[in-house]
Amino acid sequence: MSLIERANGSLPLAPSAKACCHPDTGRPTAPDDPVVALVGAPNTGKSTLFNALTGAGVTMGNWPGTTVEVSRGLWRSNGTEVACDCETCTCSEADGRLDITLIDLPGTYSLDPHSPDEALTRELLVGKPAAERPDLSVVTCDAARLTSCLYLVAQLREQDLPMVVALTMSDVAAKRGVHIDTEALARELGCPVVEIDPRRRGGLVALADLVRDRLGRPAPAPRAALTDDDDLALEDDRFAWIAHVVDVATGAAVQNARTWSDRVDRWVTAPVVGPLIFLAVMWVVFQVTTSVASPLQDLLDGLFSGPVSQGATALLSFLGLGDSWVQGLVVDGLIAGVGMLLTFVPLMALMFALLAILEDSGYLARAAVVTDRLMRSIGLPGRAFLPLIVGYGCNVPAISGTRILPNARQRILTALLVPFTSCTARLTVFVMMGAIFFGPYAGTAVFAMYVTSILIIILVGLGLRSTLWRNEPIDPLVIDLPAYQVPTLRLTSSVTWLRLKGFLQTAGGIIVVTVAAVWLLQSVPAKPGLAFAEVPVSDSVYGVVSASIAPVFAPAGFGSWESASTLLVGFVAKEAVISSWAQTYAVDEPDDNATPGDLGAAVYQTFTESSGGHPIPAALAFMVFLMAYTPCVATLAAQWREIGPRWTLFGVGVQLVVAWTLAVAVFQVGRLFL
Amino acid sequence: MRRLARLGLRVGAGFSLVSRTSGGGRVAVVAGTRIALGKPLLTQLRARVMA
Repeated sequence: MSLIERANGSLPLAPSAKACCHPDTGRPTAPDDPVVALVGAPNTGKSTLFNALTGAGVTMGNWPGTTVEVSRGLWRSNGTEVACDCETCTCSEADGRLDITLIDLPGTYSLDPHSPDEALTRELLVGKPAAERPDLSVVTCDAARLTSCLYLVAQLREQDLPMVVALTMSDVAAKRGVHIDTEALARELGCPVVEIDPRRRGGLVALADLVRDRLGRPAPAPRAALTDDDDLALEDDRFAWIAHVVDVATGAAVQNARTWSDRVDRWVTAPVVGPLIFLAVMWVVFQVTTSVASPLQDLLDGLFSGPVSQGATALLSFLGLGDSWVQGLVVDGLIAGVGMLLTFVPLMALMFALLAILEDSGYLARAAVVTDRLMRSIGLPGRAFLPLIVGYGCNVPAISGTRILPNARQRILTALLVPFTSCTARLTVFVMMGAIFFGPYAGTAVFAMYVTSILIIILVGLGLRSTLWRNEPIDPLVIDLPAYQVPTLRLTSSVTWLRLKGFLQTAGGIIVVTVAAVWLLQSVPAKPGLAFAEVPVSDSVYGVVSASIAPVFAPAGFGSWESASTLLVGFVAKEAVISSWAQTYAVDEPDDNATPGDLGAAVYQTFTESSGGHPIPAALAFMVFLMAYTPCVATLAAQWREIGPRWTLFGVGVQLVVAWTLAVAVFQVGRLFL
Repeated sequence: MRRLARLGLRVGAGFSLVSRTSGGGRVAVVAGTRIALGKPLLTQLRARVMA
């Protein structure tokens, strides 16, 4: 299977550059798009370059048969000018355009893989037959740390591979007193070198010209490497070559002088100040993803539940479909579903933007250092702390935030733990339950839920670590710290839009379908004599289903259909729990959850009856179950996208088992005392 | 150790320690590359102080 076929052929084939009047220009005239791979060590600007070269049409997803995420895009390269001097030439800029399939391979320091991501890079570059390899590899190298980037180049130059080197961060190198002679570097490496600045889109035309020139040409003669089976001898040979290349290209040995980044890191990674700075950054992230997003979400919610729904209702009435099941489906099913999906957009956009800023600035690597010791105790790297913290705002962006973890297995483990973080949607229910059952101790009860959430994360993390992840090696802390940089608006916007689009495409369908399905169940009568979409909840299929599962919760003290139906609604969205309760008891939803009024009295009565006179432990058990079971369908959709259906369903199973077990334990022990 | 070597921290390489990190680690600079190293790994490295 060719590389393009493996890339799923999802990109439209563009016509290749039209042959000029001089057919022997050397430009490829193959009907298929040439494939160019971006290769390089992490933090060398590879993905920044990818974003700069590609526009719309980028797809992100796991490489077929792997859990490694690879970005693929269309690079519409234009040469500087069409080189043609014939008098009757009709060549135009469009004729000079060459469409290239660009693949952003995972970052790697060498062809000796230490992770599935690096293994995929090796396989695609040298493991496949020549016909299945990229037509050309662009290797990004950080000019400020050339030595560590050139090991990969050394290995690639030992292969028969067409390649060019793109030198990035020359400005950072210059500030450190390192000036690179690109011609000398190209001569010593034996392959072309071009200096670029992908953040500011500098040198991209020169890169395009170089790539177009090299496509179709034979690869440079491989570097004469040591023929020895001793790996250490091979390494020594490569490093000796690297040292010679760096010496010639820079004119002197690289000095380890302290830089501005080092002065900042003295505080940012310090034992005491570092964690404090980290907590401050996390507080900002948390505040932005809750406080800033919240009004925007309310605005969108009001828009869809107000003008949009009213408009649709008016239109359907005009068409003679008012007060019919069609209106119910459209307004309460589809519009409600789309509205729910779109209310996540501000939250997700802010989250993706913040992650992009933290990563682009270089701070994320420092945060991983600061939190490494804490996260290592449950077998996760320091970076896993960030999505877990975000989960306390909302689980949906937190799941997407696991992308910052370089290892797929770590992403899966973290994504399985995120649902146990108590999000703000659950908080609304906790506040009301606290007011109903705990009076002056309501705050303490809510706080206890957060403490329980942290304990569950630790316990489940340790449990998974000792079972399904027991063979996962715990790598020692070795983190390459990139130089601090000011994030660029263009890159942040590009990355944010790319990730947001992916979320909407994948999760959107799941959310809309689920909301519509719940409406349908609530509209179908379970008893004769009732009309479709005009049935009380208790007499609908939804109510019957709730009543059928209610006995499951009897050991936890809340085995009533009213409580069970609330948990079913909560599966769709925790924000809908209170309104669902109000609908169940046919009372108005309280304006302030801290003063539940009639609804509170009704709920208290139900819990008293279902618990046999022990409403307090039953309420605690209910809150624990609400905190630990499946967050919402949007979180499931995000998990489905990030870790796939198998792990998502496994996660649901773990959540339900943990939630039910804890709820039963809390009630059975609590009723002995309360 | 292979991973450290890829980053430039190999036998015979000169490096500087520029700052401490939480958990007893250090940030080392070798050939222009800044590397955060955890304490357990640091205890396994042998280095000689150069003038």
